[in-house]
Amino acid sequence: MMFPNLFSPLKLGRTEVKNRISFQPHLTNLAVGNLPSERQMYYWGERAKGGAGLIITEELTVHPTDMAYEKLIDVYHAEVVPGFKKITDYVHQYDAKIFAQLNHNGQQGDGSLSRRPVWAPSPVPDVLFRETPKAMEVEDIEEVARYFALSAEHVRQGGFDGVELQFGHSSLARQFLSPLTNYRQDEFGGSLENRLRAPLMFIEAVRKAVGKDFTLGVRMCADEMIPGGLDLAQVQEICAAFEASGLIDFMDLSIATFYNLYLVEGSMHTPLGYTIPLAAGVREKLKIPVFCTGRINDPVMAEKVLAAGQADMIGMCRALICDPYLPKKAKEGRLDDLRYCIACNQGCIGRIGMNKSIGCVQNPAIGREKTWGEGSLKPAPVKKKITVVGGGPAGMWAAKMAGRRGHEVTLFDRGDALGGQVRTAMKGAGRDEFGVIIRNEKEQVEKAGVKVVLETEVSPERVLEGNPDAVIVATGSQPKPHPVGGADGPGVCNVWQVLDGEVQVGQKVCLIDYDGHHRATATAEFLADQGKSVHIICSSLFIGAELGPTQDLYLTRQRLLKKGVSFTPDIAVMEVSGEPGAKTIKGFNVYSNEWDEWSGYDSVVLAMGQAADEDLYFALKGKVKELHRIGDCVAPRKVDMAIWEGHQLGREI
Amino acid sequence: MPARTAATSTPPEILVLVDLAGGELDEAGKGILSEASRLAKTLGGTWSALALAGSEPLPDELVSEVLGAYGTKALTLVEAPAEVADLLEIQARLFAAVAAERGARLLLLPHNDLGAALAPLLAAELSGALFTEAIGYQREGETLQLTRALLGVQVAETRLWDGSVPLVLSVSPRILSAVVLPSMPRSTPQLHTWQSAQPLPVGATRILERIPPDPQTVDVAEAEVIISAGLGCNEAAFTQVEELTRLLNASLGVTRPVYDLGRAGFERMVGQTGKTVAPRLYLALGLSGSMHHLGGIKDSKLVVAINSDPKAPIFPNADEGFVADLREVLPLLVERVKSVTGGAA
Repeated sequence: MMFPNLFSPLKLGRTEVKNRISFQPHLTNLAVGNLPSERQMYYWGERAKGGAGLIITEELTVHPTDMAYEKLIDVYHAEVVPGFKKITDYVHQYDAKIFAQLNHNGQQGDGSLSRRPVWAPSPVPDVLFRETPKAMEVEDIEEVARYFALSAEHVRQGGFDGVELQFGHSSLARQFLSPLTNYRQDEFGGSLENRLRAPLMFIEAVRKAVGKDFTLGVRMCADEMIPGGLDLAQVQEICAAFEASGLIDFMDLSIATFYNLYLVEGSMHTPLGYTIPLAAGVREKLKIPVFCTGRINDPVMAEKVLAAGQADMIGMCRALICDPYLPKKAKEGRLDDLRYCIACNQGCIGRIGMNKSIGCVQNPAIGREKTWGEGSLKPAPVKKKITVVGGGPAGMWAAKMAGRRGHEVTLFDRGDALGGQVRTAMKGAGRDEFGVIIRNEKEQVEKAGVKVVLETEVSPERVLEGNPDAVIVATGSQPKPHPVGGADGPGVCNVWQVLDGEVQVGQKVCLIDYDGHHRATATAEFLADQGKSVHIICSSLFIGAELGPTQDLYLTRQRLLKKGVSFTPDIAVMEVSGEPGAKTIKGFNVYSNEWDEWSGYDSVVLAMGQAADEDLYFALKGKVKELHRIGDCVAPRKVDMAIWEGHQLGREI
Repeated sequence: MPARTAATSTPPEILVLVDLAGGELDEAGKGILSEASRLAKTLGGTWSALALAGSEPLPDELVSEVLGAYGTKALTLVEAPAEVADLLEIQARLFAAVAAERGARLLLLPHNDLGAALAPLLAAELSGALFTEAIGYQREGETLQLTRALLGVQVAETRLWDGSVPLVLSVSPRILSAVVLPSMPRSTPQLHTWQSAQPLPVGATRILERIPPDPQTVDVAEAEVIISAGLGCNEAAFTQVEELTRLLNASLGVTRPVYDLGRAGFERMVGQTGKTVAPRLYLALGLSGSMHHLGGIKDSKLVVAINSDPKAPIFPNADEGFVADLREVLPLLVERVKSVTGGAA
């Protein structure tokens, strides 16, 4: 057994959990009509099937004044119970336990969905939602406590093993505890004893409702990570007070607030296991089990945290979003089969924050576990000889899925390794983990029986010679050759050429960003890291316009500014001219329509879009029995769509 | 019932057990001599060294330059037939006899393989107290307060020795350092030999074979010297790195990408998601030093890096860094090491 600690049981109150892996609460946007849905049953069930010992549901809304997100379950309605029963029965079949999380978001929401004022300890607007809340009257606090209790009764009736109260990064309870949001002069504000009063009322009400024999825990924000807010020392005191009440059985932890949302769900630039010291700090003061969550995407690391006594339970959220079967594979010692989360945040946080259903770049089956879950792949009724051209993510996934279904698949790529554009993108500053997408799949492609042929330029004749039953073209895309006047002039190149080291870039660089995503900003940072002076001109309101939902924007801008990169937004670039050393960019402000120019650059780097590599597709059209086109060679997009299309076609062909 | 003597009322004579096999004193041995001076000062007593005599006389250099430098005033060599080197129970009985004869109250030894095996045997022979793997001590009035870490360093245990029975104290090598303190006067050790007047008894156990750790196969987490190869080492360079580890008796470490290429097993992978290492020397060859890698090497004593990219993050995290192309440097390094070692480890 490689992971003796990770696969040892743990008692949380009356609940014995079979291992130390908890699938942590997170929004899914899968609820329908504010009731539990079948998709949620399969979603949480898939993780139970995959071996997680504990599942904690997403936050369930306890009161009508809280509707921060449209697709949450309103647990204060008794109608939720039948749906809960289906979910808990399904999860219990796999010997996993399931807790429900109850929450009131307080001022961390707005009234645009509920059409009611949001409630908070004091009229302090949240930094993200910016809506001034109603300062709660004492009767309001008592009402929320009653609603917590009512909700907890529904949880118990719904067959859950326990309940968790969200006092973490987004919660009314934290707003009572934090000096940042609680300015009250009455018995609910001021001293720590007073600030603890409302959260303790919630705990007491819930404990009374569920009885002594039901597991109850709290998820606390371990550190607000902002001056004037709660820090670890204060949180240790708060957690000790919760424990001293004798009413709770475990302490789950989160980190930060909406002042610094990039820390709540740390992206690729955040170190693995970045919250471990905080969990260890809280655990020092408590006797009840303590959870640790935050970029622990690897069982080796999880085992180390447990062995070092830094936490009792490992919270995995994105790790199991990406690979629901991580616990099972780890238990069987199949580390080579693990699909590691890269914290790109594009599918999970990047989608749910935009009110879309949860996704995952690397796991297209997410949210569709009923039809695409483990065991749903059926052998192909007719075995075909399939040629896949292009070994990027789209081609790899198509080949892998088709190979697993018994087709005879040959995958061609002109490069010396699989990966396509990912191999270039991962060279951007701090983006090397992006390459893990390819590392995760390379072996799976081989295990699926796919014959991989590298360093081979595939002509239409070559394809036809092989006489395949079906051809999948996944030839990807190239940077647009002439996105702007003067793009073919001296000293002008594109971001891919820079990252691949194909061009010499001068000291003074202007990067034109029509992309707004990492390929622009990570290349700018790549150049700044080489000591070059970089200026970015972009057409959006600000640089990195696509980086907001993934929580990359804040730190990207911080790093670029610290590295001396300067920005000019709002500009439509129309022409690049001049010789290296005197390169000039002409453009106009998209709002004022006034023309301007920037000159004196040695090099101009373009991130101005991609063009589909579609020649092979059109050369083969009408000449083979079955022809498919997937990924960027259909229309250049991002890696999530390449994998999505590869996966879907591989299932169906 | 032995007479109760407080540790401080009669300063205890301390006997320090060292291993001089092969005419050498290892780092742990030097460390325990250094520690003996400090402990004697804490308790106000004197100390002398005790060792098993080998078949060869001790080299003069060892006696004067090494033992003398650490302030050893006297060394007792226990003479016994050669096979006793493999009979730990007999060794313990002989050492205990010396201690009893001298009235020594405290036996000090490093908690290495030998020390860990001898300490309980000695305590049993002397009907004394035993405290192993100590990481700290301090005088508390009439007693000596001893500390050790338990359960994977999660719990600290503290015990008091009141001096009423002899104490066998083994000290964790993790806290031993072979420093020569200014307060340790250089001396010329007096050599005594000691032989048992009793016939030697027969022990129940015997060491059959000593297998030296193979740096190539030792757990990289335990290794003293690690040479790590990153993706900057192509196949040819990697072969040379492997040769270098053989020549320098070092352990091989690799980064995640090199492991992915299948050039080494998972047990060789260093970093946050692989092995956490703390060697004396970490030689980082052609590895950039990603965050996840640095997380696994931060406790290394000395990090030396070679990389062709002057901007590689390994450099700000290295004690010494060289910007160079491994394709040029590695063959030279291998040749140089070969010329010094004669091509063999």
